[in-house]
Amino acid sequence: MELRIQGLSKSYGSQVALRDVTLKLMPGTVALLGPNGSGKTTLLRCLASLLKPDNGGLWFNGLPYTQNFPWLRGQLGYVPQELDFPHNLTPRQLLEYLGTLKNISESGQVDYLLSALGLKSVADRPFGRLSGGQIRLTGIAQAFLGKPSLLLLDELTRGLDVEERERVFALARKSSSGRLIVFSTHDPPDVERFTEQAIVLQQGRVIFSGKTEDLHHHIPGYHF
Amino acid sequence: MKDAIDRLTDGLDETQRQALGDLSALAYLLESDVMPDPGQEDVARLLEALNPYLPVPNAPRPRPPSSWLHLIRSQFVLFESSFWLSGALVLLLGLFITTIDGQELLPLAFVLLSPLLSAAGVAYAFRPETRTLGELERLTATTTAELLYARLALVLAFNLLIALLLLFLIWLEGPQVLLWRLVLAWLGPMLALTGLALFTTVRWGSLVSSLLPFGLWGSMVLLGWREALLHHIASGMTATSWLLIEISRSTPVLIGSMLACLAGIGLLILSGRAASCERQSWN
Repeated sequence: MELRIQGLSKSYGSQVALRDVTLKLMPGTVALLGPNGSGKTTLLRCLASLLKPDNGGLWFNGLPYTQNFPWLRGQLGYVPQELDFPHNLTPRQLLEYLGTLKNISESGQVDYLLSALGLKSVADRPFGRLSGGQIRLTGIAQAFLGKPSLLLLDELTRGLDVEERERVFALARKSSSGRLIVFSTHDPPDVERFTEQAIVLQQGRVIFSGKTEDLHHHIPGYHF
Repeated sequence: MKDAIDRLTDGLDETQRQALGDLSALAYLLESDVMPDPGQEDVARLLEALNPYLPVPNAPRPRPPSSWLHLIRSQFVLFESSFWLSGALVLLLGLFITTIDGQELLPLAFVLLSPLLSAAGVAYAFRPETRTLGELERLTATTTAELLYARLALVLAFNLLIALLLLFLIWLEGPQVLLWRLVLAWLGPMLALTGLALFTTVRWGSLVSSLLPFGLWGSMVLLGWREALLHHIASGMTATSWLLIEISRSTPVLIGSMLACLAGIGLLILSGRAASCERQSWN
């Protein structure tokens, strides 16, 4: 499994979000770091095929994104930065609904994910009555539905308390074998505990890509 | 250099290493001969050459009928109770008004407005739901067109049930009306307006899809009503009776309705295609 990004650029009007990003990602867990506005979300949305880049190309397992949407979208799980689910739905309804759309026949997956992320007790409570953390956990749970080989998690632990983060990392560790998990975060401790690979973006450019332990040698200020 | 030689002889015992002799020159050559990274053109050329040998992703297979039912059933959770309640309320009001003698105008108004119920239902069903859910729906194995038709089937089935009940009650009140023609005269505009609502939703959003069919149908009803008012005095009937009988017996209305049915079906198919285009490719 391989994800290749070649010369990717994306602008919003005159504002450049990504500049000539070239990366090759193999199975494992990769942290995407950088200050606000550095292009993390734009890169993840391009990788999720939700944003069309202005220039450059993306290949998943050697196949170009541009020609393989239905197949590609069946291979990926995605958590957006902002989560806004219909208030009348419950976490269980949402997972069962998306499970149907993903053609998941395995009936135990929804229960397993609800249980793994500690959502069992609120599974039948509408989103309108859930905390931000519980909503994010549901967002994370849906990304793992169908055991996708590419997981893109934007602001993975945003709004989660220590216990909730532990559950998320435990689930991700359990499911990481043979998959590529790319997650963006602002929390250095998450990176230190969860992954050995990191990519740092600044003003849309990749300024570092490598082992997290080497990060502070290259970019002063990043200490783990 | 020692590291490079160690990598070359990794897994060999000391005797085997000695048998290979001095590997310094070879190690130096391998270390210094750095292959340049291929450029975009090289990659494209290589992929083109390899293309026939690459594994072909599974093409989307047609959905079996049982899976369609499952998909349609899954859409229930997205419709808030207000949608079902408003439809039921229209039916109850229609039933109530039909039973009041001398109030022919109101049931007719309900029948004339019922195609709008379908268009409104479509506008509701395809309203901009939360951005998150819309995006997550796009990232699934279910195509946009499949989702579109599943949701549409649910809305149409519900509205069809309500409207057919109302038309049946009108027929009971005035048997000189030809029921099958009246149903067709209703079905044509309903399909055409629903198709128009769906197509405009897919292309331009929910607001246009609400306004355009409403405007078109409103104009047609007003024009028809003006005709009825002019003719009912001469025929000695109420305007409602005259219009209902005219609608159910008129050949041009029948042909127009059939054409509207076809146009509606065509627009529904076009909507599915338009919705699938973006999903298939960025190109």
